[in-house]
Amino acid sequence: MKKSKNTPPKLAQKLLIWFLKDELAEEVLGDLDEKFDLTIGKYSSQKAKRNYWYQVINYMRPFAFKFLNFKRSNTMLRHNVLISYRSFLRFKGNFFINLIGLASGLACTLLIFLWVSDEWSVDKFHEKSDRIYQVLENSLNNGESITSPNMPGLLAQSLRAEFPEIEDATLVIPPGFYGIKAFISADEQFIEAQEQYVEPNFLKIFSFPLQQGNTETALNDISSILISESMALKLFNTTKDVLGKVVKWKQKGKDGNYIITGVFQNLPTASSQQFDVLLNYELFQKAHPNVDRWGNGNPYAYFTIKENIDVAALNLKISDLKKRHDEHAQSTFFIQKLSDRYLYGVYNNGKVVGGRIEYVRLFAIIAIVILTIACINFMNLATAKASTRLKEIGVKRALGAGRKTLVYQYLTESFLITILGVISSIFIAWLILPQFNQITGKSLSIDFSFELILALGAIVVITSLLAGSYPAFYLSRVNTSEALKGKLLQGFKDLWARKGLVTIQFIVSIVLIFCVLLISKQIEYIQTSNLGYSRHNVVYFNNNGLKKESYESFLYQIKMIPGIENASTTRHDLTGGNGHTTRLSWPGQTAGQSLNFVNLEMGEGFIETVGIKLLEGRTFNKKLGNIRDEIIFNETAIKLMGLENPIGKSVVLWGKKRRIIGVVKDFKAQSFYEPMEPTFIQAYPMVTKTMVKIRDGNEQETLAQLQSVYEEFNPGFPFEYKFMEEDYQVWYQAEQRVASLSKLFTVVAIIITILGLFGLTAFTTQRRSKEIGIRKALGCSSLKIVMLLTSEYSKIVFLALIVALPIGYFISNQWLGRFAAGIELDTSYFVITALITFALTWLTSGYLTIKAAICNPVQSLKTE
Amino acid sequence: MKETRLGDFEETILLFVGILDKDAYAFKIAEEFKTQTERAVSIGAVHSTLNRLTEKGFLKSEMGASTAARGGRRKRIYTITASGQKALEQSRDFKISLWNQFPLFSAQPELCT
Repeated sequence: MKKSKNTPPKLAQKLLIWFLKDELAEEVLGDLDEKFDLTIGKYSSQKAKRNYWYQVINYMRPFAFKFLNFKRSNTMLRHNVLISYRSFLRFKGNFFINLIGLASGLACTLLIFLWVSDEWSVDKFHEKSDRIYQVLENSLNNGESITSPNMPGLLAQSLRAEFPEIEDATLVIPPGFYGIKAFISADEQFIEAQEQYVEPNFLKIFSFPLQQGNTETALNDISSILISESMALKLFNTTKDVLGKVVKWKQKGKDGNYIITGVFQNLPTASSQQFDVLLNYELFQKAHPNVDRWGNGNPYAYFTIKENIDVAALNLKISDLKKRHDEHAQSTFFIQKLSDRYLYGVYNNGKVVGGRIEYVRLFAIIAIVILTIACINFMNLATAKASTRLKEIGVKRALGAGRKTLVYQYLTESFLITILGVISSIFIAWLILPQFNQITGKSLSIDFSFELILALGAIVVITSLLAGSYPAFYLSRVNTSEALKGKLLQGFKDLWARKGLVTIQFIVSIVLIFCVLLISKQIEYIQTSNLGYSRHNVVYFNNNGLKKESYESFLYQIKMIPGIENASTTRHDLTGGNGHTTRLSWPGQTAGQSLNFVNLEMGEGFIETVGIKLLEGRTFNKKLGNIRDEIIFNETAIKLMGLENPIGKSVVLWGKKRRIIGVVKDFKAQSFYEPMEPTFIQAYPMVTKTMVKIRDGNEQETLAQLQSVYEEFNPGFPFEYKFMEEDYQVWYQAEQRVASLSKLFTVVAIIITILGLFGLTAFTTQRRSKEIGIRKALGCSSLKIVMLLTSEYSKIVFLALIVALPIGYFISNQWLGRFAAGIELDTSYFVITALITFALTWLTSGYLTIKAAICNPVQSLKTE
Repeated sequence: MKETRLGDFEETILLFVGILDKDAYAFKIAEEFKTQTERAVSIGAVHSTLNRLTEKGFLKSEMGASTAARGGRRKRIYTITASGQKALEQSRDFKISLWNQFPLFSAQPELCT
């Protein structure tokens, strides 16, 4: 038997000695040893150890603590709490300003904490999350690297075979690949499904636990299908005994009957992969044999590394993998940890440049800033009101209170108010959480997890120290005799400190106002700017059950509906996600010149449907020529190719000759982040979707008619349409969220700043009431007094503006720089910000100053 | 003002100190409590009570001998003070007077020692 088994646990002993009073150590350790010996004699050493821990923890009692000389501090604590309580009662206004400021600041911090920790948790729930990596590809186009997650289908087996560092690798086809939707049914009615085609080892790499079925074998068979619990409920109204049942599956090329071999638990929201059906990857491979070429990129590739692997070296080793297999390959691979991809998912020229982490950082900074200005309020008001509490301090000092005692008193006060603030902030946060969830698109909740309690505890300690430290140390410095005489500390330093703090508050608020102003303008610009086509009243839907042969009559029937202006088939919905190709050559192309074109596959009539402007030539028309031999370019493409008189000239696309029949004005086929790209349009008789332009008025009726036509041609499929305009909103959701969140937080910051200013004005006007009285008695006009009082704050605001506007300019310039097109920063924004700030300042301080100025001097002079 | 009332648990512990006499230290008292009441109590809880009783002046203590089982450490032996004795007697008398007022049991003389 090992010796350590018979001795009490070392850690517990250390803990005990750490907290226990020194004079008790001997007897207690002795007692516990005896107890341990006794227990080990009767039971296992395991139990004895557990009991030892239990005894140690039970010694955590006030009498035994080293640091807590409880009996003595108890009296002081009670006294401090009582004094704080009385001071709260005496300065009610001050107290509420402090409380509201702190509580709203803390509520913001709390919400941001919830949001940030939610963002952090994405994809970290996988058991192997710190070993799961994804392969990404950088391909050179037009001198710039473009990053893509779509890999050659041969990659996984190559990773498994050629890299001893790699434990396992798997391929995944994400939902709706190629824009083809999938449908599942247990009887006749088909419902839409989010499917993933995955290799059998998928469940061994990712932790998506099965509720029923065998993780090892569930995906092995090509005819097997795994469904989520909620999908099982939708299909069978139960999750019981669904294994072995057969479901019908509809997705182009993969139609058929599949046997359920597993039911997986509903995916956590923290998963970046969201699907409700899993199928065997081989199925996809059979339907699309081209995926198994090194030159093509389709599935996502994930792999797990073995423990203790040098990731940088592995990354280097993988980088030229493609070139080793495909001599024509120009692109390189790199790897990124899956759990990093959510936060660091934006690539520029082949490098990770950020992503959502920017928002996480931004809001973390905002949280700190808001908390800081709330603390500044507290400091300011506490020091300001010090003069009225000078007698109290003087008496205390005269009775022998040391500096420490006074520091403790003020820290107790700030601690109490912080606690109250935290409690109210939880309440406030709980109240606005539903709205917050709506804005952020998350489903956050306040559950008192260990982390949250820890964070709240930390916030209480930090805030109360931060907010209480300055007044505590400032006030404890006061000289006894001067304090008794009622003289405040002299000197510029303190006045400067206070003014400096207010200035900082204003700087922060001004920066926020400026940025919010710009962000909302930019968002507005995006939403109203000219795209080069009209999204208005354009709906689109999938051609789920349509047959190629009946498509023409389907379109004809749609166009017959009186409320419909035009209709066309389309693959792309002009919200990005377009295909690119470099395999297009044109007359006059020099060697080595290559352009990466956006490929839009549309139907005849598409250009008319969305109202893209034709500059030259004509649009597609079956009656005028074979549409499969024709092509239309945008202006940018023509300019970049350097073609003159392009109409009638021929280009070679994918080895086939195409005649240019038209040139259209540039239009936005992708996000505003990207510059205008060279684009061509090809026409097909039928592709995946149908796009319909509806006339204004009677939209509901028209849609109903559309639905009946749709159902006639697509039996069994639900009519699910989308307005392009709505889609567009989703596209800029991130920006909109940032915009509305920043608005919210700016309002809070402004409220806190204004509360602080209000408190301070109230205080100074009260302090100077006698001065005002004398001035008035000597014949000074009320207006002069108002100006005298406000000039002090106007100076502060002016100074803050000078500092804040360049900062705001710098920040917003960076943000605007991410958009290819946007508003110009001009002087009007600076002027508006300044005006808003001055207006807020004057409004806040105005009421009080005017009240002080028009007050009868007799009132202030007679009070002593 | 100092609290001088005797709580129920305190009274029991005080009695155990008297029963165990020369062997009255925290661990032994906790064990005795467990065997006699069949209720487990942590040594810390007993120690805390002993400490409180000392503060109230019902107990006094000094460091006693050490044994090998304690790793050579000494133990603190508690003894009842005169006021502790008095508090116990008062508590007993008070309970007996209550019992005597209870008509069903007032006839049982063995309670009155």
